[in-house]
Amino acid sequence: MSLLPIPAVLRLASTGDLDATNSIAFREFVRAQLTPETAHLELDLAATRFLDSSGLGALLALGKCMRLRGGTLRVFNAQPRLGPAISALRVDQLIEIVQP
Amino acid sequence: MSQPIIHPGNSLCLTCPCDVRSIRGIAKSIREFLQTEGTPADQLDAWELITAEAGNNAVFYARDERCQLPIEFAVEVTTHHTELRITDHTPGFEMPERIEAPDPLAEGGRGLFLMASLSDSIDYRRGRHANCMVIRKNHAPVAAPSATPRIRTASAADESLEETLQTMTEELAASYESLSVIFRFTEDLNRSEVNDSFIARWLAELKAITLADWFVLRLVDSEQRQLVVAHASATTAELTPLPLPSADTSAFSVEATAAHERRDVWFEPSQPGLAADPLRILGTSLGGLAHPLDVGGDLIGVLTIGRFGADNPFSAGQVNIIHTVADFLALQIRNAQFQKARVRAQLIDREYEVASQIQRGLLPKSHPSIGAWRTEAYCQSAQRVGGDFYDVIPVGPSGLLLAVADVMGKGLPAALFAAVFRSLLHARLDLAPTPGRFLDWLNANLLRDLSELDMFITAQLAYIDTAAREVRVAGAGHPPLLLAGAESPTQEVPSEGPPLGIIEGLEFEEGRLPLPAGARLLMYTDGVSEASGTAGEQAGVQPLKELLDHAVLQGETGVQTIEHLNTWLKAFTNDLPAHDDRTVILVAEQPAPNAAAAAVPPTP
Repeated sequence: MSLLPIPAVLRLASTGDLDATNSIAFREFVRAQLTPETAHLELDLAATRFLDSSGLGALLALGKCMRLRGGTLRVFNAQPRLGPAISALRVDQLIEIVQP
Repeated sequence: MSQPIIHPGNSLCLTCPCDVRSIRGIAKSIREFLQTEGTPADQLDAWELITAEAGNNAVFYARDERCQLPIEFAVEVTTHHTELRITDHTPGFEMPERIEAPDPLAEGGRGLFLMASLSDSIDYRRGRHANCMVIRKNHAPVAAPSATPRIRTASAADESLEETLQTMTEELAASYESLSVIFRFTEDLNRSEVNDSFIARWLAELKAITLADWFVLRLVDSEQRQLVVAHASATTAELTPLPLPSADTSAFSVEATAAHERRDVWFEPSQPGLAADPLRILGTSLGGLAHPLDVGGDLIGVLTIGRFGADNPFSAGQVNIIHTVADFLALQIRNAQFQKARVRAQLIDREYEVASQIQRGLLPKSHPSIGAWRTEAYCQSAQRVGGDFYDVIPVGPSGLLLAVADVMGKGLPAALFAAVFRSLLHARLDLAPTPGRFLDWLNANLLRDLSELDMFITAQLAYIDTAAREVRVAGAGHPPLLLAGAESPTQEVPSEGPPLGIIEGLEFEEGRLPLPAGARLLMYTDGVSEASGTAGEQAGVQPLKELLDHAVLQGETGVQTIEHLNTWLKAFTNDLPAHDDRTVILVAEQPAPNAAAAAVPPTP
């Protein structure tokens, strides 16, 4: 048996906080990684300890972008510390957040 | 970020510059502080987020010079609640009565809703120069409260309350002082004219009110090229004008920066580059504010005001007063400048009106006829006062002197020389039968005055001897006279010679031609022959010749020919405004139905 990469899935892992200082750059960076084949985007937020409304805005924008392409956005490993922001804005109803 | 001030009780005050990176640092510090106060872990996440959102909100609303003012954070923990106060110096925003959930698909606008969701109350106090957002979250009831923290909390709360009251009192006093200044300013304005003395008085007043040590007011010069010192608190002989616009950052100047960037520029003695600032001649340790005077987008000048020594900045209230007085002064200076310009324009208008009346007075009131010889003429000035002139003067029983002149240039000087030309012309009508000699004499008499002003006059004189049926023509740099008759096509009668006022001792040539039956003579200035068509082409002489041929053929009256000429010119130029004056004299031999009634008695 051999394992092959799945070009339709792009998985990216964050390296730090996602807030007003970097949300626009983050959004544009992720968008730049999308290829015509990318149908599903997966973001790993294990290293993100802080997420503010700007960061959430970036996630929602990426979710919208993927929906328009007929694809999906899934967020993995969102830390409990991000809970207040995610639950207050009910982001989990707009983006699939896979609990660790 | 500043060093935190931790009160003995349980509050923390921090300030940071107005940018999002600094806000992030503040949010972390407040989280750490609340952790030491025993705030539960889930609440720490919420407060870190609330602090970041509130701080970012202040940064996003900051504009212009207010970006330079710090944002202040104060957090306090009591037995009942945790309260965060954020004071910013931005224009602020309209706080909605109800904070609604944002559109789920919108990318922004969630900060306020987040703060509201994570706290129990948000109070937003919006002031003219500062806004304060107070966010509070009540603590869950505690079964057995400890006595010790409660005592410490009360002390800190009192202190915070006192501080707030003091700030409010200071703001109120500054507002009162600003209002008082506005009233006194308005009263002074009603009593006196806005002149140097008025401006100096108010700058001295401003210096006293704000406890400033010095000021410099520079105004933009009339050519909009420089900022020139208009008023200063001390002798400023060495303060040279600053060029405008000054995007050149190699030579640092707080005044030029304020003018160029149209924003307040704050400076302090330790600021890099200040040592090379032209203001440095006022003292070695300068701190203060350079405020651009801007009225409706127009830069009027820059007011720079300050104190000597470090750590001696203006308070928010004093800055408020500086802005108030400076902006009022700018408005009054601009109004005074407009008023002065309006008076100047009215004077110029009046001068032109007088000159225009003089010029109209120079032209003949009627166009004389001698026997069957009738004249028609007109002069159209391209400007309100032109340089063209014409005259038709009966000389003796059978002579008619026709004169057309074009003084180089237009406006007042041209009109004045036209007046001089007319006076000289009427002074020597004895020379009329010899137009060449007449031009010699005119040249000799105009030469000195015209040469001194580097001006000249083109002219043409024609003498019609109706008895001898002859025309004598002499010209000075003027287009040729056109002569038409029933038996031959229109011919040009050149009258070559340089313009008057250039060469001394000239003798102008004189041409003589017999007048054919039914003759038409056309004299004109170059404004007619050089009229521009829609494609930029010049009219030339040929269309004029064709008009005259047609006039002779049809037996037109002079009035009809002039009408046809105007109609043609209008069509050729597409009725666009003329660039040069247009003058025409037309003489037609045309028996009158009642010759006796039409004739004007000739001058003796």
